[in-house]
Amino acid sequence: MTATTEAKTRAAVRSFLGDPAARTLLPMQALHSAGESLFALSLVGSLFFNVSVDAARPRILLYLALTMAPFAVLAPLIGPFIDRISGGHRAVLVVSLGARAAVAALLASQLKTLLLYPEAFVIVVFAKVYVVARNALIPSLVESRDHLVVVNSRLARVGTMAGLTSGLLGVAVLSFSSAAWVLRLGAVVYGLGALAALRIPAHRVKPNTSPIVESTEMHGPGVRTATIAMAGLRMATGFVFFHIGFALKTSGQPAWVIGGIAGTAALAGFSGTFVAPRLHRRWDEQRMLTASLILPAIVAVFTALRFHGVTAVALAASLGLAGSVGRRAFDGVVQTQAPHARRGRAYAGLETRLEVAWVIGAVSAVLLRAPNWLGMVILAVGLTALSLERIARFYSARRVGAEVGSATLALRLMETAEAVAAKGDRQQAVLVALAAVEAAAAVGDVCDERLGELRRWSRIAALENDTAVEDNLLRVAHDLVSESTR
Amino acid sequence: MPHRILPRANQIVPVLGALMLLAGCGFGADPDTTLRDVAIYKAVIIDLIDRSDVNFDSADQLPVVFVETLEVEDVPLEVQVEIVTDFEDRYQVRFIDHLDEAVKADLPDLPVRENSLLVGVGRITVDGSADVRGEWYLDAEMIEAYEYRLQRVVTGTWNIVGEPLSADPMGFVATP
Repeated sequence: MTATTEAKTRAAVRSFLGDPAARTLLPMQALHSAGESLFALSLVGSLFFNVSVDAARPRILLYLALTMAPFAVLAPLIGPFIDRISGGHRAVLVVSLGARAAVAALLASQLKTLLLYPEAFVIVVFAKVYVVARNALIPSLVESRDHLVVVNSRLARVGTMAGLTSGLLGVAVLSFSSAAWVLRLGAVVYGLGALAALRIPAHRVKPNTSPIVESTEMHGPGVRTATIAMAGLRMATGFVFFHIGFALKTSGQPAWVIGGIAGTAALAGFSGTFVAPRLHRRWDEQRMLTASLILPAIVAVFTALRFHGVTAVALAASLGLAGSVGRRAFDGVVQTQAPHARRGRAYAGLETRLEVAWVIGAVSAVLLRAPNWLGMVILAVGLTALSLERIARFYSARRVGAEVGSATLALRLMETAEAVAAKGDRQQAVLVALAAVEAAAAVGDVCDERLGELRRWSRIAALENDTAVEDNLLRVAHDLVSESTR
Repeated sequence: MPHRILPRANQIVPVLGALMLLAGCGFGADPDTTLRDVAIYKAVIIDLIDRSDVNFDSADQLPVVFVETLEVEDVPLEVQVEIVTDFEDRYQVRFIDHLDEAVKADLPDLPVRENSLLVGVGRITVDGSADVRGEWYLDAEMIEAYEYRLQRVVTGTWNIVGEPLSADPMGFVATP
């Protein structure tokens, strides 16, 4: 092979697999998805299909509520610690996969006992911990901020392919053996995933921006509305997961129908990774998110009119597709409108909120135990309300867009001012901070009087070379920028 | 103002409170009662399967016995789990929430699904001996209901006393 051919091959591999650091995530993601698929399949042979839903409901509710605990309480407490240590996120990924391997091995012999509930929910919790840690880590591994969407798409594709392949393998094991062996296979796959996670470079999420910039970016109108839409989609997914699960069980549908629905949703999600870039040529991310809410809302209406296997498959497919397209759009919004926040722990906090939204949706479905049609009506109404709210916002998009532009400029300038001050050049820092406040005044309610006062202080500071005045000025500018751009 | 990373106390306290409340609900049924109910229901279910004279026609998979609860809101989960486990070598026992789960509601004579039988079990009344209702169902025409009396033989074993009394069915009368 000539050097040119080798270089071309390397370039092709690089183009397909993406950034070298992010590439190490692919085997881990494939094994995670394969494990999840086998775990879900093993539940077909579990107690879930033997006991009445009404009798099991209190337990399901308890463990769903407990699912929230690590995110509501533990994540905020240990999250900053994980951020600070090198390889912290990698350690979380290894633990999340290793713990699932151990619990799955344990659960394999207890699928028909009451331990099913706590152990299955422990696996669910660690799966969510994995998603949060992985998504928080990706931005640190990509070479350019433009690669975030691409890397996430690749991970989604690899994950779906691995999930479907292992699902087929699991069906074969199930037909020749038992659900317990499917889960044992899953335990091995999770274990291999933990080993694959060890190969991820030991990155640290660098606090390379001031908390104010990070916070303000995360509270910007674009990111905020995108987060609400994405949380709505995640909530809908959690709701549908349990609502359809119960509905299919109580209507006597065979287990393969449930497997078919899960497979269809996964395939639809896979196709979403190809559909999203094409949609993006015509629409911006916010429109894509609105469309992602409208599609399942429409299908939910048809499902409410007549609930059976076909409409359930259609609903799962629409949610899979919408979730995938929505996720790509959401990543795009974060990438462009919160470039600093996406590297910080605020991004992990955002991912946590999305996982909590899924749990809230699931809890709602279990608590309501609504008739099939009513559940679908609730889903359709919820998604339509979110869509309408977004459409209403769309008409003020130009104004919002202008605000975001100026706000971002003000934040960038303020961040530069702080960086310059940190290097010791306070006079330059004061000048840049003044420019930041002027940019913020263009969109916010910084009154001329305060701006004039800041200018006077800057002159005094320059004449007297008074560091105390300069520090005070920088602090006031910092507060003004944060208030006016929020 | 920097983005708040740590949750406020007023965010954590309700979450912890709700969790403790849920955890404290107490799912553990009295083990003696569970053991007794399992034994009684098992005896009744076996008798109902025998009386139905059902011909489970698939050798490939275990026959399914759907169980509907009569007169009571639900058989406790612990009891359901024990019954499912005890029968797992002979039958797939499935406790149902709705008749649709066991019956083909779109066919005129409402037959149970292939290779299965639907039985109903009622509330257990214990006064020295135990009384409980049991019914079996294959389709709208083939229904039988009985009032059973059981006596404890040894701990964890209850036997049916004599021949159960025939009764009017109550579990499968309503169209699903």
